[in-house]
Amino acid sequence: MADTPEQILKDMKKYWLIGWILLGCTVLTVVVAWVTPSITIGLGIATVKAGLVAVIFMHLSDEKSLIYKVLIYTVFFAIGLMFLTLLALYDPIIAPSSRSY
Amino acid sequence: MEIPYEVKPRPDTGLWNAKVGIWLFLASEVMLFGGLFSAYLFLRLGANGEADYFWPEGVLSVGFGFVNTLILILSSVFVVVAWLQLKLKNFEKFRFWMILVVLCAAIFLVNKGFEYAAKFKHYGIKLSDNSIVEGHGIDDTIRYEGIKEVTIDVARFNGEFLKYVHGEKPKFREILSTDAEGKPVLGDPIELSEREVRNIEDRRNDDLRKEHLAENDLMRSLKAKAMARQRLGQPISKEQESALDYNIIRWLPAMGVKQLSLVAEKEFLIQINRKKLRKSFPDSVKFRDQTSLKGTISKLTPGLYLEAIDRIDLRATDSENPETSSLVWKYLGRESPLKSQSEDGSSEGDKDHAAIGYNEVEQKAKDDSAPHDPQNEAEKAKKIFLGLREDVLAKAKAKDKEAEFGKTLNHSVLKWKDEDGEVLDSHAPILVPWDDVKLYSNFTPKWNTYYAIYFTLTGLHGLHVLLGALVLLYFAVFGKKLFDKDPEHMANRVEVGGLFWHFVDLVWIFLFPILYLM
Repeated sequence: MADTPEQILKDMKKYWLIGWILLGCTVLTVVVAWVTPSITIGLGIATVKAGLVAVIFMHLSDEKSLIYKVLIYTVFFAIGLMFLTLLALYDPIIAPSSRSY
Repeated sequence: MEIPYEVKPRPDTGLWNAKVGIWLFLASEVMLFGGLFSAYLFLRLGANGEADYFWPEGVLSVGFGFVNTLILILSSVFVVVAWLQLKLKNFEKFRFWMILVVLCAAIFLVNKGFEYAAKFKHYGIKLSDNSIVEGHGIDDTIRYEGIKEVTIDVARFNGEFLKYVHGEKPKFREILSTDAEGKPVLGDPIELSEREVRNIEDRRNDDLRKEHLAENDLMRSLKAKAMARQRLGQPISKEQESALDYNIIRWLPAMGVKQLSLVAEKEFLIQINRKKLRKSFPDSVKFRDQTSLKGTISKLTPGLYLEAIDRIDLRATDSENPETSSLVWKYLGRESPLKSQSEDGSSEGDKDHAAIGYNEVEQKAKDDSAPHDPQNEAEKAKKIFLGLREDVLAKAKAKDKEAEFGKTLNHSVLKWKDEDGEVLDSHAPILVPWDDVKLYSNFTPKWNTYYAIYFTLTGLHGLHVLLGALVLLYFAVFGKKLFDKDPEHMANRVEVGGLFWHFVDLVWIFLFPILYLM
């Protein structure tokens, strides 16, 4: 990041633009959920928003390699956590007497 | 001590130290929230299945969540703008934007506070057939009449039940023993209190100990005599023979009095909120200190009362056709006898309503030109529920699909527009007999796993908002000194605070759709 006043003012414009995009995405999330509730679309928009925050606001687009090294492991294990529930899904508790639907 | 590389990058990492620090910290935060999101997934995917537990849907106000999302996103923009103002060496503008961020955080937390408060005032009842009704204005007053017999667990007694005796407290007599005809032999009348019970315990234990020691002495001498006679080869009496088998045991506190049975001089009644009791049965009641009272439930408090229900969830109901045969329909529209009796509204339950500031429904009922008829309201609630159910079924049929089970039997019953465009709204009470109440609670983590994970996730996130805002406020208020000394250092500090703030925003970006929209 260059620290010249011109560059800073340019960054400022960029941040506002991203801010507006994020606000727009939020409205979109609510509208989509209202029209056609879909977990995939909802989480998809959330991921795009989170990506924008991380890449632009948290300057990940312009970071040193050490940070990426730290984050790659974190992301890997955090995503791994989300699949733990599969263990229960594929080995469920069986209760034959309960009502099925 | 001088901390190195606060401004200049460290040669080996290429970064100033605090930046490495905050990213490592954020990485650990990702794992912390990741674990909770994983728990959320597990609970959500595990619900609605074989276990008779169904995920509550549509129970959070999207409006609140939406506004809070906008506020956090705006605050994220304000943070970077504030940071850039520092880079432009303009401290006053930095302070302005930073204070806006803190204001955003404050609005977010106040909003959250309202949302939490609404949950604390909102109640759910699970009936014995697993139907669930939700609503406001709970009255769990329970009254027992004709109480004469009281049993006390001596070690645990704390005199709590005496606080709930209605009117004058009676005197009690201890049941000492029973005579030949089986009639109780009673002690002197006493004013019951914790201290009095301790005195009785001491006295009784003293007597028991003396008795025990006297018996020991007697048996010891008999045993000695018997053994002497045995050695001499002389015959021994039966009494002496039994003494030979007798084990001399020293006095132990556990041998003391455990229970006291008392009889009141006259019948009395107690009135209490059910949640303060340990157990309640039709003919007896048990307090948390194990004090047990024999009496009958008053006809004035036959069950648990909700003043206005707003949702009926029949997904887990044990019936082939819950939409017609659920217990909810049986009890809907029943008024609390205690409430109708005390027209001045002085019952304990009413006080509870006042405490939670709930008068919306009464107000609404007054505003309506037609008088509030509970049975009529119950009919309307049923009509709304069935109407909404029909809507879901029709919609699915139109798409040539089978209606989702979860969406057909769980509806808010406050409002519905029928085919003729007539708007129905209902404010029906319900009175569930105590025997048919499986459990009841306000919407706190104990009510179900949804609220457990909801409060854990949003509570932890809220704490992050609070602490982040405090740090940013500190920069805005006390940052001038460092800024004057070394503006670059100050900018780096704000960048670190800002990174944390963006992370807080990032977590909320996922929380909003997951908790509010799905």
